[in-house]
Amino acid sequence: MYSDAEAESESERNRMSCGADEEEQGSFKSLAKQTEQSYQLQLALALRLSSHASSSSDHSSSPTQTLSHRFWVDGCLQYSDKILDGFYLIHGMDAYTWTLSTDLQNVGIIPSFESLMSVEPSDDSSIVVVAVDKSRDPGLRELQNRVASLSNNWITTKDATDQLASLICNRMGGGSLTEENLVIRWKECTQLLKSCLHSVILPIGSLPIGLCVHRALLFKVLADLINLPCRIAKGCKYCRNDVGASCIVQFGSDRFVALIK
Amino acid sequence: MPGAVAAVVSNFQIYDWPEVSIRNYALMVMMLPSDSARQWHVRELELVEVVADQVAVALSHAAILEESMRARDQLMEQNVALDLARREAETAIRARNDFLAVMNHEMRTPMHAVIALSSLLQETDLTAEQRLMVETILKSSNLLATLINDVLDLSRLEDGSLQLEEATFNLHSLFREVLNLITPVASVKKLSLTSHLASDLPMYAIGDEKRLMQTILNVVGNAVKFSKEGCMSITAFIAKPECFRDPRIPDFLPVPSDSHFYLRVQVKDSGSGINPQDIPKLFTKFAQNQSLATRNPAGSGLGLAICRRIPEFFRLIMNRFVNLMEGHIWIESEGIGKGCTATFIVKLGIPDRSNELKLPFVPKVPGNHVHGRTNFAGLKVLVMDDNGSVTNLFSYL
Repeated sequence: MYSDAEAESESERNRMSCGADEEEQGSFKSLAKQTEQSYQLQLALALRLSSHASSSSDHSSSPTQTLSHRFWVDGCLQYSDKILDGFYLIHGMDAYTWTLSTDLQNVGIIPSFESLMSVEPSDDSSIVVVAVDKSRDPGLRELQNRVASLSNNWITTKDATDQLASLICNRMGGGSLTEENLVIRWKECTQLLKSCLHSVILPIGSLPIGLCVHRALLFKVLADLINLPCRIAKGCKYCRNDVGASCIVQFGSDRFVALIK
Repeated sequence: MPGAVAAVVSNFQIYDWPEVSIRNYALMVMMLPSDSARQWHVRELELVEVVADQVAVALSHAAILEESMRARDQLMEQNVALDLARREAETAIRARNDFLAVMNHEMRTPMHAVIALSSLLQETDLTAEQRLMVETILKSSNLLATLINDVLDLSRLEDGSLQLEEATFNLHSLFREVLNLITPVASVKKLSLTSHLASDLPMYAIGDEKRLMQTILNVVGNAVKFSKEGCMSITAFIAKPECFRDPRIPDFLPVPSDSHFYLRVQVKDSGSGINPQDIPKLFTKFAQNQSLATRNPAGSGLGLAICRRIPEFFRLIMNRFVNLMEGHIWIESEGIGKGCTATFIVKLGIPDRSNELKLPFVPKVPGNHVHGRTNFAGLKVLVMDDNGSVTNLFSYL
């Protein structure tokens, strides 16, 4: 876990640690002590970063878990990223706080799906998890079938983009709601769903209302189905949401934004 | 044939002069002529003894004086040498800091170019093998950028250029924010969390809100990290000097005044605990625990437990922040398996009456909240940089 620099600087550190400890407690910090502590801080941070970097590459998490974590933190997906069954988006939990509060090597960079399944959907819980998994989501399966058959009629990329966007827009609550209303409706709806399903995990195909990030995710899932090159970028033109997201579709060298509102 | 002899003999001894070993030597010899009928009287012999003692005292005074002058000269030489060494060390440190500052900037720019262009490269058509290579380049360069930006820049934390903010903020809503952040994490980990804010805790305080939040969040997060299932509590109250008695920090007495108070935050968990003997050095020593972990991996096992229990960087940084806020941070534990209590005290200002009625101008919240939508359409942007690679970047977008 620690680099080779550890060995050669160990003797140096042993020398440094033999200093009088009483001085540490005093308010007077000599220049030598300050410099030593500055070095210690830098060393600690460098070691920690390096160990994080090396551990994140060999952490045993599934590809979907890794992708879910990446989206949770970055809010964006590349053209080459494919949303597979098992992908999930966590609302109501701050990713940074999770990092601070977790032994990342043993528990994981993102709360596991299993641990989220066991969370009680009490009224106080702000946690909402939107899951993408066609094997457990008949709504999503139905949508995918519908898109697959409709796509035969879509000729140009622009055509496909527009049709898909309007389909998702209608599916997830329409475009007439103001931003505040949408958020309120979303909150009400998710509370209801959570108590119906006795779980904080909501399948994406069962959402009657979707914020821009859910619409973007659904667009990406369906776009991948019909080989429409699409990526999700962080930020939304229409809302000030933290988790705002937009879809960008590629056509040749052009990119245009799918308007899902 | 000599007559009666009396000698003033000194019992003078100096133990520090090895070449002058303990011996008696004669200072003065008085002799009566051989043909004299006079004898030494008893009183005269007594007088000789007294004189001998006096001489001994005088000689030892002289020796001490000479010794102290020698020591003084030696000290003066050493002081001069130390002063020279100190100045050399200061020059070296300044040179190092200047070097780091320059290198920091010089390294940042090409690093950002590597990262930005690699990201753009990912957008192009690549084979799977090429894509993997570009991803590795990006991961490594991100790590390098963090090392350059954060690690090298840490010297700012030491040389006093890190200034704490002094602004009025809502203390109660800061705690609410911390609770909002930590509650979902605790619920996933099946930890029950209780919190209590003392009723006499002021609503508003003056200080560095962001860093205070950072400190509380780190302490709380650390407690969550090492609690399996069970309960945790966070309490915050005003530190009273009479209730505070820590023999480890005898000089620290949190005495409140009209202009400031001491906030005491305590986080109790029911986690793995720490051996009380290992606690004193926890927040100041990095190296010691490191060597414990590497040298006794199978030995006491406590070293490892400490290293995992309190990540080194967290300890040192929290200590730094708390010290800047003129406070202290420490941990108590009754032993392995008995949980831990982390406590810190920081000094915060009290806003005067007129300030209390005014809300803080801009509510500071963490995260990327966009406070207002500004219309940027139609604006032209001018990009300037002394490095060509950065300006080239914009031509790709």
